[in-house]
Amino acid sequence: MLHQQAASDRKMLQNRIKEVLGHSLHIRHVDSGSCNGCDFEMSTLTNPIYDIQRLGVDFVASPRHADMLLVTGGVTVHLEEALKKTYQATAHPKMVVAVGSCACGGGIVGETYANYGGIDQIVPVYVYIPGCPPRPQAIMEGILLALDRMNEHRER
Amino acid sequence: MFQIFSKIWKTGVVTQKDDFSEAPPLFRGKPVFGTTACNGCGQCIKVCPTGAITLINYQLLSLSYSSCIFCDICTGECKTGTIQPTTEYRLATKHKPDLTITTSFPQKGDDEHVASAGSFRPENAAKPY
Amino acid sequence: MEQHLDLHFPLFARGYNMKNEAVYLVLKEDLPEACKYFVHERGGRIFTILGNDERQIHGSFALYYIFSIDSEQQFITLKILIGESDLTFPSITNKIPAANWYEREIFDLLGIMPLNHPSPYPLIFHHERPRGFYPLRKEFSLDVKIPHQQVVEHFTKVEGTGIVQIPVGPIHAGIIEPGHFRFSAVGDTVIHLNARLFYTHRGIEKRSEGMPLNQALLLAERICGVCALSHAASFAHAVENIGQTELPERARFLRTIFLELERLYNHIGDVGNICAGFGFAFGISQGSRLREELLQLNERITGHRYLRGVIRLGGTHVDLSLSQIRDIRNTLHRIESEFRELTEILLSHEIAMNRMQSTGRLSLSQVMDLEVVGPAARASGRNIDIRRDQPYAAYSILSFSVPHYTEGDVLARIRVRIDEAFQSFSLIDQAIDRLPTGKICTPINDLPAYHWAFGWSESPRGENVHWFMTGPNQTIYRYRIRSAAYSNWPAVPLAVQGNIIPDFPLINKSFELCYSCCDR
Repeated sequence: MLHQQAASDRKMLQNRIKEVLGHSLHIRHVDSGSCNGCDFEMSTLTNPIYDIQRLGVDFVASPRHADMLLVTGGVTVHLEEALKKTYQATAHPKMVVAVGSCACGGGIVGETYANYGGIDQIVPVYVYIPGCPPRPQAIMEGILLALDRMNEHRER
Repeated sequence: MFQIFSKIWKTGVVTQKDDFSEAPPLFRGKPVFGTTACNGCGQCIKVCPTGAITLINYQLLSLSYSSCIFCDICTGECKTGTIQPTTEYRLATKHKPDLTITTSFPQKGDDEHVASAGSFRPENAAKPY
Repeated sequence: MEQHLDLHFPLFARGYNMKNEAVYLVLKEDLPEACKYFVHERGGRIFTILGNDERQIHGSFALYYIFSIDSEQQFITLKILIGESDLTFPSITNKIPAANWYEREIFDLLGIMPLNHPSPYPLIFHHERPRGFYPLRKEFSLDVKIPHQQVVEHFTKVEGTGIVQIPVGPIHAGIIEPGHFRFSAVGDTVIHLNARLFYTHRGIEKRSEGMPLNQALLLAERICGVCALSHAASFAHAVENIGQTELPERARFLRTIFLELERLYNHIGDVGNICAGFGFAFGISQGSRLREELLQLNERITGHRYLRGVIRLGGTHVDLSLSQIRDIRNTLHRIESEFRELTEILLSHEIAMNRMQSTGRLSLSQVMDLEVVGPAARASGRNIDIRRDQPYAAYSILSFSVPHYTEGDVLARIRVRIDEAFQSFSLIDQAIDRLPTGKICTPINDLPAYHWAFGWSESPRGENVHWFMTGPNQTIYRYRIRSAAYSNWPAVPLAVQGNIIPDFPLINKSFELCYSCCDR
């Protein structure tokens, strides 16, 4: 049952990517002040076990090449400008995915003199992926969800 | 060079077959509100390190996954078993309000049981720490 | 000199403080002399330096200089009081360069000025230091944001024909943390590198103030993702030192096992990652595969891939059952032999060796001056390891060697990691063999208010030192986190000088420092 579910999920993810972006989705990672747990989980997505490239998803070096920003961390004051600039540099249509508790709602650090506590205060967020850090599969699920949303966004 | 090829051959394909397999039993996934009713002791609100558990109008106990760090301390503190640990990790959502769950919070003096435990006032522990 | 100190400055009562920590109350003017004495004559090294706003307690600020004298297994704390009328202290950076960052951070966050500091630029703040903005003072509210600062660049300017400046970051091309690097280069060769860090400064030290201890433990775990356990262990160690809590035997061994598991996944992952520095795809994929298997092992036995929630104050939260121990044994046995194959291939690969050898060299004198710690120090011939020098958990019982090299290049740092990984396999094996039965957690004693202690642990990147002072009702009054990355970052720009720019990622990866640990 589970296997069937997973197989159909995978199909669905591939279909969405095909529909929305042809065969590929390009992601730019932005660390806006995370503890690096989420960053490492994101980089495990590219290891041979999860191998996200097989789904047509890849990480790129510049926001100008990207369709999606995966943002970790609760936005520190020092990175606010960098996050805004990265967002502006990303080509339309673009989407932002908040990865981890800090990005979604501040996490344990919350709001301090140097931290905003949540990226939705700075840029619009399409998908939230809570977790501390979220497992790699959870990030994959978030990407699937975001692709669905991307379609809506286009039609508008 | 030969060593490299032989190692690659031996390793074979390691990519997971099942993308969304279940997490191992010890994994601390999202806490949920179970079927047992809350007795209003307010302990979970006090111990939550991020303030993810709050009380709305003295009537609803709400838990927000957007700031939860999945430390599982509340599930250990909950005497009635209202907050239950699970191994569910798939929480991604497009709508932030989906990340908040609620259950009814007994008002003070509803019954004897609650009267003894339900002395909690959020004013005393409204801050997350 | 010590007699002099003993005679003239009252030794604090040691009853509440740690048993091997001698505390001297020193006058401001005597501080440089006292520091020089402990560092140059007694062989002490800077463990941590911090400032604390103690005006609520006795009306003045206080600075603490903590030295570790490894040969005597002793700690020395120098405490100086700073009255509100004269918020300055003499800088020791000219004599002891490693104090550079600590002193600037005290200026940034507390507004106490180091006099005669050779480079008194802001450290935490990127431009002009905001006037009157001192977040660690107690009257300062937690949620007032850092005000907009006047843009000033504090980079060292390198001038001459053919010199170009290359800015990189803070958003990098890979999946890594933010930091800004400014290369001054001639052609490909780096003349000078400026690193601007503290982008991920989240204000964790301020956030912890007033937090109950068990919640602060969760915060300590979230200082850094991949050193989560060693930060938690350091904090718990500090709490246990204040309360003089004896850990149950089983908990000490369990902590050792988990700490070594953390070292393993880091070191094995790093060996794989270093291959990305020269595009050796085989190494990247094998290394990340082994790392992933270790992370999955962590998740199976503790419920968290990065070992969060494993430590409790007074012991551990997670116990190991027989079947889990069997799981650890089997998995590690397999990974050990696979890792051996990988390292044999890597260390006999001509191109890999060519790139790593003599790249990013750090000399012993640089390492000593900047008080570099961890694998980076051991690769340059500085033989320190806090597990052996000031044992904690079960390290005094288990036998292990501390690998060290003298070359100080990228290869030496990788070799240290490889050797240490094999030591970790053996340590876990020994700890499992000798794992005693019994309790895994003991309740900690009530902590008296306004007492301090520190705890330490050897993270995969070097020692983490956590100093804290208790407040009333089992809360935190001041928490100072000095991670291995904080000690090691100043050394990275020195290692890069004279190398070519394409080697920078390789050198940076060979140190494998966290930004979040350093910035907090």
